[in-house]
Amino acid sequence: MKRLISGLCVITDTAVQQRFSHVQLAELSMQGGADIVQLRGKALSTKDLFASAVGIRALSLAYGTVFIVNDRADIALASNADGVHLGQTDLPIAAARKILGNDKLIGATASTIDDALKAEQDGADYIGFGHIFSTTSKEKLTPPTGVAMLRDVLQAVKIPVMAIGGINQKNIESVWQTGVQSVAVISAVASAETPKAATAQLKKILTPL
Amino acid sequence: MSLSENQHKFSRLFLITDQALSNRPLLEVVSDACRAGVSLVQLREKTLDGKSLYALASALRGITLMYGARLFINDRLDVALAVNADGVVLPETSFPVQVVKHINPMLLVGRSVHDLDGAIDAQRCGADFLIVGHIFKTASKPKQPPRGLGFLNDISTHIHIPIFAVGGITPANARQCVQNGAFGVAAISSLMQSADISETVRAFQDAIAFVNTA
Repeated sequence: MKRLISGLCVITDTAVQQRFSHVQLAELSMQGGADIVQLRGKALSTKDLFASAVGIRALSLAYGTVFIVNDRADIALASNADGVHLGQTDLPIAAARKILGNDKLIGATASTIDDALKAEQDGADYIGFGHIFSTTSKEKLTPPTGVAMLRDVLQAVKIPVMAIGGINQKNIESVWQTGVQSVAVISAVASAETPKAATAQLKKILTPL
Repeated sequence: MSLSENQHKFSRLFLITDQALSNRPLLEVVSDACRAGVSLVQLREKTLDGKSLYALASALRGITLMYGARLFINDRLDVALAVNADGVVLPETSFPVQVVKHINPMLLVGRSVHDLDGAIDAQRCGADFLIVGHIFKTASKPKQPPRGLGFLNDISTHIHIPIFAVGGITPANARQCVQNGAFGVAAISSLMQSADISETVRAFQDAIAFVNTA
């Protein structure tokens, strides 16, 4: 069954930190109350990515967390994840849909309203919109969108939106107040001294408005 | 050695792409190769992102279908499924063979291996064929020493699925590979860089057809 995109999404990252593996970060986030965990291991081989995905999948079932794989529809399929998140240089949405069917979530990255509308039209289940603030975890070619543009996107599309990019303890409330369905963090959890506590603190701010 | 049922599914010459090696568009090279009789094509472009790889794979699917050739995608199962490729070739850093067979039993699965243990394991896990190398000296693996024909021979005595020798394969040494237990050969640079692909394909076919492997 297709899961719902809402609440706090923690993206695993072993580029901004090396203390924890993807599976460890996923588990700490789940313990902290993450609603969604996204596996993002761009530098991993398919073999290692698959192994991480299988590990996180088992945890996500135990914790009831939604599990999304970044970029790779095949890893999502093979690990029976809840879905895949596609960047703008990944498979087209239609190609991923053909592989994953209608029961899996497909998210698509957008950094403009036009991108978001296009992704919705192409059949995405949710939009990953950003980057909202400037960020160091990914090299960016465009300036941050800011919270104002996020509001415009929320007006423009009917599918859920996940805000992403530079979101942390200090600014997450301003993002959540837009009424966005989900907020994704990377460094705010991965680089925190205790990822579990950091997740719990962020989660507390995302109580229903 | 008699050919098993399995081996009849394959022809003996595999084209593996590497567009960086060619000064012509990849689609042209593959079209020419298929027209000349290549019926096994593996798309292997490790530096491409998913979007570009998918676009290329879609185009190659059109070409290979037109010539009745089989298309394999290296590593990316999603791209293979999305374009209805005939199969995947899994490096040892890719998915386990059984995972792919579980997802789609119709998909042909080749495994590239570099030692006997890997070959035996791949066969046991249900691989349809092996790509074994590198056999000869090749510019694409300048640091590792080639495995040689003895290695190929040794592996072939333990393996009953088709083996394609890879790495530095040319029409001049292809026959030796088949004489040493390979079912066929996989060529990268000798096809990608050929000035006359149909001539090169013919030379390969002459070299590996009707080899007495008994």
